Amino acid sequence: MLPACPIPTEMTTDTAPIEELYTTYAQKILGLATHILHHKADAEDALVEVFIKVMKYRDDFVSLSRDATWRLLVIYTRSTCYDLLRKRHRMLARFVSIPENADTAPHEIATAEDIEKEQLDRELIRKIQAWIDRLPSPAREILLLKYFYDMPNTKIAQITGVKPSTVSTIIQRQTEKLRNTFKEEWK
Amino acid sequence: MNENERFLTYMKSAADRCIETDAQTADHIPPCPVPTKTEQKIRKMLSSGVVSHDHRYTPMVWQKTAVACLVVCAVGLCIQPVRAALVGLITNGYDDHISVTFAVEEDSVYPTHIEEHIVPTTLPEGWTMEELSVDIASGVYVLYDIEGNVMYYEQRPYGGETWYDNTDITIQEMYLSNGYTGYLFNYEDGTMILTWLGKYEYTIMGYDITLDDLRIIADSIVE
Repeated sequence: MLPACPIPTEMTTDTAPIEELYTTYAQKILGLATHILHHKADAEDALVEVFIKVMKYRDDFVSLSRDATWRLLVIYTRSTCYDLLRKRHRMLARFVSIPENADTAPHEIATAEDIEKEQLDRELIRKIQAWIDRLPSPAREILLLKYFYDMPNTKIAQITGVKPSTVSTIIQRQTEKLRNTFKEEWK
Repeated sequence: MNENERFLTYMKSAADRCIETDAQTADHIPPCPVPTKTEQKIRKMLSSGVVSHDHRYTPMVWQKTAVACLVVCAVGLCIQPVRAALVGLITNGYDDHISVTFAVEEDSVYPTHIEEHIVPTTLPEGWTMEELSVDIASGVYVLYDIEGNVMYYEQRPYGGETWYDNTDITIQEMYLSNGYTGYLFNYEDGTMILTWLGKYEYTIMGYDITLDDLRIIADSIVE
């Protein structure tokens, strides 16, 4: 058992918003963790870990809409679960299901004037999404945190449980691969 | 918009869609009531601001891993990949993991989804197998014996690289009686991972298991 470690004072002030997050989302997070880990006790550990991370990065949750909060919590939960799987099974988990609605119509993106161009753009985004979805954990979560949330590598490392140097390597290598895969389409 | 800006814009949009899909998928998973003990523990942590990492797992394997990591650190970390020469398998070693890719013919075609779930037909004596997660993306099974030893078996579509921890690892080829060549990842702490590519990718892993047990299972996985 590791010793308890105090969180710096600036992180401990006003715990009400985090407690509210817990009240609203704990059961959903535990449901998701159980779904990924297939193990009740492991899922409870994951829930604890998620809220440790939430406490640490509480500022990220300030002024987020309900949807945005849930999205961020989902990525925290997935990262934490796959980190637990990696640590306990010594094998980077690839137990990721292909989302059932992966082939549904794309969401609205920024409007493009040219309809034909817009369709091409949507198609490319769909292809990139499929490419990212096929990545094993933690590469998938790392790219999402990097390119959507624009997080620094050190923070990504703490959320995903991967060393910062490995985060950098993964981002660099996967970005290069992705650029090469669609190199004709960036132009 | 230049090429780099275009790339970043597209990445952000694609990442947005991935996250949205994850959130929607997670929304459909039924919530689980949090057991009272866990709830008390988290609420206490949230209100006091004191974190207690009292994991249930403090097995000796982590002590062994820590020692092994120190040995590896002492030998030196490599940032540049080290390519190992194994016929049929491309491995790139990094500072704490290796990426592994099966070498396949350029024009080879592999199923993108699992069309048929293939499971071992023979288990070593005393072992039982249970399904953990089975869908079109993968089939994951847990195998255990009466002494509490555990193995995992996974079948998934061929899909590029897989990453493994590279702490004190040796890799060797192993010819399987199902006609395929397997690759055995042998860790000094007793973890063994056997993987091979047939119509799909197959992986069996376990801790403190015998090679004979691993082989019995692998040999009985016939397409």
